[in-house]
Amino acid sequence: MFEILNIFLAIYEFIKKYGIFALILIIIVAFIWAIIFFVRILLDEDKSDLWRGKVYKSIYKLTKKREAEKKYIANDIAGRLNLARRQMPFGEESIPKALKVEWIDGNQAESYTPKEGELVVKLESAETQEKNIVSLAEVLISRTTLIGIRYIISEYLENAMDLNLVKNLLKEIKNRAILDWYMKNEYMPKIIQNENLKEWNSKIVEIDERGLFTRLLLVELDNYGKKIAGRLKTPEMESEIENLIEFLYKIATKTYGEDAPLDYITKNIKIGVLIVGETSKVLYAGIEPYVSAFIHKLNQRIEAIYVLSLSKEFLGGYNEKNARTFEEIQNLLHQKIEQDFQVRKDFELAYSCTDVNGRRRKARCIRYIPIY
Amino acid sequence: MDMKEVIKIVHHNEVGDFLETIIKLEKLKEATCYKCGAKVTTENFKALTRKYGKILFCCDKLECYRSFTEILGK
Repeated sequence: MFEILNIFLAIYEFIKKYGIFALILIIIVAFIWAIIFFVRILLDEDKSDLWRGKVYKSIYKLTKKREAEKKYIANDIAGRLNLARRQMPFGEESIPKALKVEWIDGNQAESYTPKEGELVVKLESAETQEKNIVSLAEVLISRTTLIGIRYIISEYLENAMDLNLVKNLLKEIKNRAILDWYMKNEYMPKIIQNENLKEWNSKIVEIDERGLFTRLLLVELDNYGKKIAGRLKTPEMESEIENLIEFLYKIATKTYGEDAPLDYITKNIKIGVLIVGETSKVLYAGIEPYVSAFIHKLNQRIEAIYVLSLSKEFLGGYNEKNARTFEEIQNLLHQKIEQDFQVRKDFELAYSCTDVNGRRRKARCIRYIPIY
Repeated sequence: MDMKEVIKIVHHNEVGDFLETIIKLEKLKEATCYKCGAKVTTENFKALTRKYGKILFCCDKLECYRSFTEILGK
């Protein structure tokens, strides 16, 4: 508030000092800024949808016309869900498909027959828009994620992953009312219904809180789906996926100094994880232990190596020099990996997460693909 | 350009004609929820899809819709 007041005060002083020319200059700058703002919206389909939704919402509020209501509902849903989808990491990409909603209007409704696989959903009035958004978020997740592995995994595990994917997608909308509606009416009632689901869900939640659900697990499941495409389901496949989740759960709940397996090697999944998170180890032993661990993973012919760096945010508070050194050593490690080994950097994602003690940590996840 | 998942939507006030047409064109006696077996009417209709040539209706019970969204990806 004070900042805005200061800006206006500065503009006033500027005009007072330079007169009419200053005023003209400010109008030109404001005009250019407005043009850039609107062009950016127009070029971005999802932002345009959101703004169109706002306009139609106002028209609907004034006129109560059904056409305006329908345009508001459709544009608002597409804009919000597609923008949220872009914010939600899925490895380096986002959820594979964007959402497009099309009304079956009055005339069409009298001759409409759905094609194979086509889905029709009834939406409620604009007054319960949060319910409409949740309905379509669930559909979007079901139809566009976990492709190729849904027939392998148990119903409980599938539900646990879907529930958390929808939760994450709705979280990115940044509207508490929508998320609260979902948590109260969909997420919680479903979780408490079944012990198996509850157990899988608690594991997915822990993995998600460490930032490894959408950045590691879903990436590997997507690759798995591609690898086994067209193959019949076997009990081995189901346990490969379940054990991958157990493997990540152990890493996610690992406490300071505790050992957890960092390689997961099966017939169809061969991944390794390198955690650069113990500040004292990084500061006093340097990068050598990590380089050795990386070589060990290469010797096992691992197909994807994830380097997870976790920095302690409070380190910067009490020892700025140590925090800087910690950061420099991490960068040095990545330089060495890329220079000395035949690897391709698939993606690098910076994020923040909570550690097992609930402390906020800055994190970085880099996925390397070794070339053998 | 992103790939798009197209979902058809129908307004709650226009469900009557829509449902009537589907039942007539598909030569059905009535629409029933694929999950709970309840008769699907204008009031309790939530969604439908065509799977293996057959129309699957879903009523508006949260439990049924949850289960319905789960079969969509399969």
